[in-house]
Amino acid sequence: MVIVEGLSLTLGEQKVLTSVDFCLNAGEHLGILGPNGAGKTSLLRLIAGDLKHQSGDVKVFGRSPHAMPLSERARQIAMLSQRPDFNFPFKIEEIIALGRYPFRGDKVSVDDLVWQIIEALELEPLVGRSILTLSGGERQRVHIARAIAQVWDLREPGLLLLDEPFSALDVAHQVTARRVLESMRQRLPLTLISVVHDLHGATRVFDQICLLGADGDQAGFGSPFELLSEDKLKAVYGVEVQALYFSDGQLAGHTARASQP
Amino acid sequence: MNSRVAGVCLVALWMLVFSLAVMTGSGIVDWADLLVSGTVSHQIVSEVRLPRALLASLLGGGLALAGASIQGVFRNPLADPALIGISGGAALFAASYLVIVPYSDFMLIGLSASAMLGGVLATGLVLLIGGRQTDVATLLLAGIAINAICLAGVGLLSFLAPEQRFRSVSFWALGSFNHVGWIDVFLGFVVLPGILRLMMLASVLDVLTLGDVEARHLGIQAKARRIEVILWAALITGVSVSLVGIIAFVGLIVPHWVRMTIGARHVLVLPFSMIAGALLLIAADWLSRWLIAPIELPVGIVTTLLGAPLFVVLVARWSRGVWL
Repeated sequence: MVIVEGLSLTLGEQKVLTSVDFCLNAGEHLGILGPNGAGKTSLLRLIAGDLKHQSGDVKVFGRSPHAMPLSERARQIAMLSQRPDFNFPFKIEEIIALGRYPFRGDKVSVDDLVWQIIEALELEPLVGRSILTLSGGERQRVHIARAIAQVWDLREPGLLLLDEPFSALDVAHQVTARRVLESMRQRLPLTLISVVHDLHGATRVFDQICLLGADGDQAGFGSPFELLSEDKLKAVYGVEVQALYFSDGQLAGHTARASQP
Repeated sequence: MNSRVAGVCLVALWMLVFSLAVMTGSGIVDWADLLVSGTVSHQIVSEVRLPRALLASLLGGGLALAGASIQGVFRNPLADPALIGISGGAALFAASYLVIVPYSDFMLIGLSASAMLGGVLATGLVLLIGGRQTDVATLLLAGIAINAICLAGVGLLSFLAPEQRFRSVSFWALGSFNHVGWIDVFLGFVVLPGILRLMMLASVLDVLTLGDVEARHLGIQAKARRIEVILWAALITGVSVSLVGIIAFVGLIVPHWVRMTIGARHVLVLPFSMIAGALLLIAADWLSRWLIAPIELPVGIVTTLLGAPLFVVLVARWSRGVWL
């Protein structure tokens, strides 16, 4: 269970987050949405224990992540940041294996585990290639694989935090990655929190949504059907948003256009 | 390239060049007298060439390893101990020691200790100036600035030094194995703890190349480990500078070649850099004896002549977004 209570963060003079509250049950997938600069990444980093909040509280499976020893935290909480840079010619399988660093010494074959992830994410054509030779989207897929490697064989409850994980992926690879994450959630004691910009599919992917306003205040927390209403999204993003439906009547996503003056 | 085959080839090549460095030179060696104690041939080999080749191997290996480690923590394949202030600080303190402290039997030990201190202090200053920025380029620029100040200080000391010491300061600042004896080899072994510890940090260096934030997510105290690596690299560089002067670019060329041919994982990069660094410095020293024989060139000039053009190529590639 991930509990965030009255969480506020100020960096320098800048108020980043104001009184964010939510309670996420173990095994759920939370989507954090909001406009640029709303504090989505900061919220993720607070939950990861990277940043220390000024007021309020964060508890991940009953413990404060910021106070946990790093080595212990890394075995329970994995996070994929936005596009980490790489300046050395590591092969993709070597980068994925870095995700197993917190578990070095465990009697698990890293090679087997890495290969399972490569197959699941359909990365076979990239095996043996240097990360420096890959496109932005391919690099993002490798980094998703690395973050996944950290929680691939969880035995205790674990949390995977993803910061705009699919921003450079084409639709086909987005579907593959989402399918892998979903199957991991079914198979493992895994809770997921993703920061996304794309409203498409948010209703089908997430169990809960945390909507942040432009000034870091919480515009809402609840199920996608409650929160992703046209009025609510218009209030947060300042644009006209229209819901789109599949032919069977299910909500497919949203489209936006600039508000009329 | 298969890493085992490459490793065997590299060690064999090092042994070959080592033998060549010991067997050849300006003095004529009578091989029949080689094992006879007290003969000139025995003295040339055992007192001059052997310690020289051994120290070149040890320091070449150490400098290349320090370079590879520094590149890992700075996440930049263009970092080199001589480029980011470590060598400059070590040189300034060693030169100051040479000029200020009167000659004594403990001269070499004092020189090494002051060079190490200078390397660590210069690195500390670089981290203080550039370390608060997460941008690696800022750290590199701070290093380059500190290095320039330190080398200007060495130049000033050379200018102000009493006549009899002037030559030693200037000659030593260019890097040379000319004076090397067994005492230097023994002092050179001070780098061993640094070499061993950096080898142990190979997998940590792999994770650090992802950046501090990602490294923390993988359970590593990124800042503490980075400072530790820099301090060990400063120890190796400081000892090296105190014994043979500044030898630039070994720490840049060698890890670069290893990453291109063997791979990027530090568990391979570090040992391969060590062997290749040992090989390169022996070869450079051997060349420095032959290039304009009978005059002996400072070895630092040879390594700079070999490394600087490569550095120019790397910077040009970097500006086009190609790293390696």
